[in-house]
Amino acid sequence: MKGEWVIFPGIPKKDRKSLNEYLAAGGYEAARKVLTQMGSQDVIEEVKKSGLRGRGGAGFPAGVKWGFVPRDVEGPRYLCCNADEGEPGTFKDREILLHVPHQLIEGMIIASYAIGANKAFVYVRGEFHKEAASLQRAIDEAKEKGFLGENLFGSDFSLDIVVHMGAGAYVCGEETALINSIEGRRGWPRLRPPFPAVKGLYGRPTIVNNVETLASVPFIISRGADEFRKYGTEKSAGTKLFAVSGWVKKPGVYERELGIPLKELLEDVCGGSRDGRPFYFVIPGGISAPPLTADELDVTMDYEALAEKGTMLGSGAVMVFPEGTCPVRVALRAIKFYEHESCGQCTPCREGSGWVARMLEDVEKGQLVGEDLELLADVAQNIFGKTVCPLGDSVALVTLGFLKKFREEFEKHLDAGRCPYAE
Amino acid sequence: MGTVKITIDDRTVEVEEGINVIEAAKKIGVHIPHFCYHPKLSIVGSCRMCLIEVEGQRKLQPACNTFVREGLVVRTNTQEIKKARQAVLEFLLIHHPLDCPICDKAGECNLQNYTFAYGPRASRFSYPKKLKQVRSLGNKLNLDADRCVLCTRCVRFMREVVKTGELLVEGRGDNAEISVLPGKAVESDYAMMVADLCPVGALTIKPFRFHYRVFMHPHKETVCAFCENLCRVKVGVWRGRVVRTISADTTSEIVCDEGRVMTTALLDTRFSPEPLEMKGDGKVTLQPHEVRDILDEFGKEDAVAVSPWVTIEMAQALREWAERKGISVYVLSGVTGESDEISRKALKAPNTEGLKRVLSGASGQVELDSALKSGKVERLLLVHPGPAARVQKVSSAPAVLVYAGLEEPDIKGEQTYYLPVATYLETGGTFSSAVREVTVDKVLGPLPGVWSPLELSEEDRHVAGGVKA
Repeated sequence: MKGEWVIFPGIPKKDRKSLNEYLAAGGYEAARKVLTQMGSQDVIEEVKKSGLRGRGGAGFPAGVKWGFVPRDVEGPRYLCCNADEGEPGTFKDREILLHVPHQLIEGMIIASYAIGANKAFVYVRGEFHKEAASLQRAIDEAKEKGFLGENLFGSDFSLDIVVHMGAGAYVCGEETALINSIEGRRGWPRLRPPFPAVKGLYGRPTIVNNVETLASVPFIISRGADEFRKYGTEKSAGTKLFAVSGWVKKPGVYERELGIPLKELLEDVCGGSRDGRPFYFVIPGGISAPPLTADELDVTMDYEALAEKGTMLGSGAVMVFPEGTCPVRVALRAIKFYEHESCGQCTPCREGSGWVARMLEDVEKGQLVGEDLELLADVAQNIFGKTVCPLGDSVALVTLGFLKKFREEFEKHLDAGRCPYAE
Repeated sequence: MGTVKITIDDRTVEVEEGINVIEAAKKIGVHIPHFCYHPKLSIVGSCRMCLIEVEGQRKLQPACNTFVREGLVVRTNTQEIKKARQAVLEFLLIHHPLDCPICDKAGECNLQNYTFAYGPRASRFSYPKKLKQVRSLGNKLNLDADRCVLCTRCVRFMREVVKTGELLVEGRGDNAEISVLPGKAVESDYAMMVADLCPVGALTIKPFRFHYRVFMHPHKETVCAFCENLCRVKVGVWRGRVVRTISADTTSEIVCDEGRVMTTALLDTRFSPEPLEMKGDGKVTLQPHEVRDILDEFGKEDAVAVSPWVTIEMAQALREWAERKGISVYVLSGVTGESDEISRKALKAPNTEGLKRVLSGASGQVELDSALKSGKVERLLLVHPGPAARVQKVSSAPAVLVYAGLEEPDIKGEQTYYLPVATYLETGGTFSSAVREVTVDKVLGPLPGVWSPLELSEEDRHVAGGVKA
């Protein structure tokens, strides 16, 4: 199948955990090539040419982002790797941290060189103890071998990587909150502008990239942007790790090319429905992506096609729900999560997420008193687009998405005075 | 700094470079409502009240973080913005106790004002409110967390201006609450300033709490005279008393707690509202003509001592009087005390420069003390319209001491008279210090028995209808 384990062959084979194994598979050749033969601008150009887009959720072109770092500014710059993987349903970055940590380190060396950073941070989700240990072991190995530290590969480039553990806040996966958290401040997102590329960590130019994004870079350098572009679509190039969970026979992490039809991913790759029950809806990109109903599943998994359907590829976390699932309950569960994780900084998200959660709770019980679904929609709409970071937008998108696609289910709850799916 | 042309609500204006849209709009009289933005503090853009439309931007943008640039086009009053403001106000009020009738801030509260100006008529929130406990943040401040809009002005002020940083936000989501670092309290010398900065009724000052309604007493602008910084303040007057002192303009005047408390209490320290003759332990009330007679007896052998709490106008009246009668003039020195980088200055006297100018030929404290010691002075008029502790003590008293001050005279002559002197709050006037020169109007009074040095100028006596002795 196209794009099957092209960039991350080490994940299914589990044969590249240690430095020696990684070297045996041709590891660190891309970093060596970059440091000995390429200028930083060439690296950025190559990544731009590859069309690699952010794999954390937003899908912003990585090379373009790197290009935003001002070249003529003196003093330190920083690279931050976002390993906070907090989006419910997402579990792909941990595979990289556990099975191919050196691939991430190599990607970070290349990215740091491209933006001129001599210090890089990996912000690891608070719950990822094993993953952080695996990464730290790899960093120590690389340091010992001279792949990290001073004068890498005989060049005058030096790099240190620091593993920073988060404390379990979802919002710290947002890049400016992540920066605040590394600085030891409260994990509150910052206002933009200034963008981190201009003024980020410790007030210096900073690039924040997802684990998968950075770990894809060595492939682009060693095999070339054109090879990378062989996979995926024109605007969504390359392959992607899909984290499939829910009602399929073989849930798990799969690398496939972008643009793979969702049906193919669910039926052929994941073995289809667990017990033959038809799928009711699918959340294609982590909990913040509005759901696709059963008759919308004829879609390809790339940034554009999903955006056209009013949802998003997000982190590539595909959650599959069979018939018999109460969509109101799923929406409620998601909103409860946001309510709990809302950082409390800006008004609409702080006050609105709790309000929406209470209304959904009542809808689920079939007892929405004195308020109606119009109000639910209006409150969600009042949050949308008015918050500091996208967490508030997610509250609105999920609520409005479920309400739009499962309106009759919501009404059924209210008519019955109870959840029709309840035992 | 150059200027740029921008368009606000279809009006093109030229404003200085680098300012944000809130400030730019102010210049053409357009108010953009906001809670968290404050010119003295860093920009966080968290209240979302100042959302505006910026041409070329898909989403509404916070005006506080939108900086002017050539050709910038913004709108501040479209339907979408109105709806956004309503949304933010509705959100802010869902857990607000709506206890304006007992809130100290009512009448000067941004949340209240904005709700009337921009808010929805009624809330659509029908759940029980999440109410929070009232708590003490130290010896000066109380926090009503459920009135709080989490603008974090207080947190930023303590961190960025006072630099003690004892305040922080605790908890997440709608459990977030302003709090103090464990084991600490807000006992800073600028704690009360936080209540001025608070746009709502969340932070209130303990001695003021529940005592007065701000909309029932007039607030008049004056200065704080407790150090030479001469901060511009507003005082609230209720039934002939000063009941509170706040910063006249939080964007420029950072008023210390000491200044506020002492300005508020200044007139309360007055020993007697009537002129008195002190006879041993007893006191006899003096009639106005008796006061005039006592002062008219002053002549060539006598002296007048003027404290730096005397306004320039009072000092002029005293100088003319002294010149007329050949009385020698001495200037008393102020005291010094704690100072800091924010606004407190070491010299705790308001008018030292003014006196140098008006009473340029006068002698100082040392000369006065030696004159008193040698017994050359028969009568001394000591004018100090301030707290006794805020001027250098006079070492001894002559035979006749006329003490025009606030507190009971602590030195006594063979004959001692006490005149309740009018302060700058009751006469208005000009102070000039090394920092600035300010002229203020009177804020209240004076009461009938109070004596002002201005009465010494013959003109005033004529105008007042007094009979010349």
